[in-house]
Amino acid sequence: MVQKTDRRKPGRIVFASAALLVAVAFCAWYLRDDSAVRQPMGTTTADGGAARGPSRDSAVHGRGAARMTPTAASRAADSASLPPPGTSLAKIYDDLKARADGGDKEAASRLFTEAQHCFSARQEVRMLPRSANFFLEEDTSKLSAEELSQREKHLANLEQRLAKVRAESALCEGLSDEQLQLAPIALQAAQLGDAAASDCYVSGILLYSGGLLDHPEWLAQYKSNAMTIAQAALERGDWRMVAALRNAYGETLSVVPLGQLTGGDAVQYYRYLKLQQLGATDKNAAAIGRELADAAQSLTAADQNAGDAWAQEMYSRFFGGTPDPVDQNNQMSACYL
Amino acid sequence: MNPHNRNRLLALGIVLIAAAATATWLYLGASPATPVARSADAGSTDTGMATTPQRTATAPAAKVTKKRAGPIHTASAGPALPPPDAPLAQVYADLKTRADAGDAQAASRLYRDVGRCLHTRDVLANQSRAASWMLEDDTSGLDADQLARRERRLGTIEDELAKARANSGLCEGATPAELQLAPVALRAAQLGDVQAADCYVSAGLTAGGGLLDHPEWLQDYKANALSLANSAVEQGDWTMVNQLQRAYAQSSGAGLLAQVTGGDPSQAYAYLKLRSLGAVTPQGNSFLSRQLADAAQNLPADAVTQGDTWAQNAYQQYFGANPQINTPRGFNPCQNIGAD
Repeated sequence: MVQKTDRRKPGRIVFASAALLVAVAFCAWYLRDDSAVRQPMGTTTADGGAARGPSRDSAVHGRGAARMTPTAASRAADSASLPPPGTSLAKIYDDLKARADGGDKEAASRLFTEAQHCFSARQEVRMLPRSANFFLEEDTSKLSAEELSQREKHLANLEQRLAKVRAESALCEGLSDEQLQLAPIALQAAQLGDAAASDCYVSGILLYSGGLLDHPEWLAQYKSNAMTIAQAALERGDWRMVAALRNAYGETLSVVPLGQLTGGDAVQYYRYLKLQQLGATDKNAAAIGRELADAAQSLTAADQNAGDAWAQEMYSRFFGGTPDPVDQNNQMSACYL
Repeated sequence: MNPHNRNRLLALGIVLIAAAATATWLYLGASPATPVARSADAGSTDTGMATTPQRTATAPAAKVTKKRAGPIHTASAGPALPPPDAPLAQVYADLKTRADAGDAQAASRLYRDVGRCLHTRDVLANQSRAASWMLEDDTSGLDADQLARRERRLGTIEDELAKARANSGLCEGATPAELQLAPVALRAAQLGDVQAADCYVSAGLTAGGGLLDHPEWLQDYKANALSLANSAVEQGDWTMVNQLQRAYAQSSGAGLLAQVTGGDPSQAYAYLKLRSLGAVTPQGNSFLSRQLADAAQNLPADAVTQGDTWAQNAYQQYFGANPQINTPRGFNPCQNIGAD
């Protein structure tokens, strides 16, 4: 070995040293930006310790292979001003899309928010008149005074909503059905770090909102990206994502793609439930405690201890040790359709 | 006319009627009825369209069994089915083999057993949690009526949980692949099970899991859903009339069927008209009449006429034994399968 080292040329040693420095720098960058990806999540390990996270490969699969952390180029692009609020989406769609494709997080978020809003408004414009008509045709002869009053309030509310939606949907005119296919738009915004898009995309409900029959590749993209996006959201302290994963591992939302992706897992279910308990408000604490006790019955003591330690670590590290300020069981509220 | 000629004419008439009946049966069998041509043709002066069903979808992968108006359980003869309390894991392979070979009873039984196990799993996962949260609710501000409703709800949950626990033994050992609803619903629907068709067309791909690993199901759906839907309408299925109307209208929550049909106001009007003919209550009739008037405002007069004619014909032809809408409001065809 010594002889071999002695025979090396000085240039090769310099080269090796430079390579080592690059590797160290890469590791430092990697640990700073992507430590999240290796945090406990996903399949339960046999050692009772923290579960492994999704592989690094999953972070770069799928359309655009966007990184979870904005690049320097995207940060520069972010600085370009967005179109003023109240601009017709049809007029700015292509520009926002091009900027999002270039890594502009603000443009991607704006595109997702407005496309989701327009999708929802289009649905409501179709639905609300039917609801109002149904009430208007209802036989009211046997209603009490209080019921009549409630009915009038409900009708007034419907009328207000319809007027509001019609006014808002004026900004959504001229958009094709393809432009309002939300799954790819949400994926892009989520990959660039948008919290609402992440919650919505990871639930998988957007896959069903239009276009899937002509885009079966969305299923593979979802499988490749959802857990990576979920992990990043957890590391931003996203309580909605905690609830979503708890529901998925607990098989309480088996219809939703996230539940199909994770499958049922009693150990993971316990961990996310424990994390929820740590962040529970007074209102929720008792019910979560009851569920946690039920969940613990099917686990070994080692699994419970490891789950408790994992949850405490997550709570301290990513959630600031502070309770969830809102109803953490309402994960789907980020994904109105 | 002498007796010999009269007899020849009579025989010829019988042959012609039989030929016409056979041709009609074959034609309808190969091409499920749809109300009118696509919107692009709505302005056509061919008013015969309403009585001449046209194809609007690709052919189904397997031919839909025709005219099975009665319950599926009395359909094809075959070996006896396993006893009702046989665990799914024990009978799945046999039922699947028989269903693949065209045994309609086995296909329907498999669909219902899988659906029952999915429902059992969902109840056990969700209802105990719902009860847990309800029990923690603050009830101090509730009045007597609200308390009574809460008690009834808790009682219902307890009943559902007891039933699910009783059924859970029938589902033990079933693998995730055996709990995938889409393929068994499709097969049962193809063999004439209208309830399976209702579920498959509405949410069959998503209700039971597996879609993420089976993107080819999307192609199956595109190839089969509309034909199955049309066939179900021909068997007097109001649930499917509602689904098709919502799909053509691109209504909120119309699901994957709306992606197959695309939006078509003429078709939506025709199915809405059919629904109005089956309205049960004066209020329902009045509501649908108003909807029809709104829909008609945006259509050419020809399309309205064609839609009215088709609906009237379809109502008489397919809904004679089932003249009133019998689908509960908000009915989910994929929920509580196998409970009946």
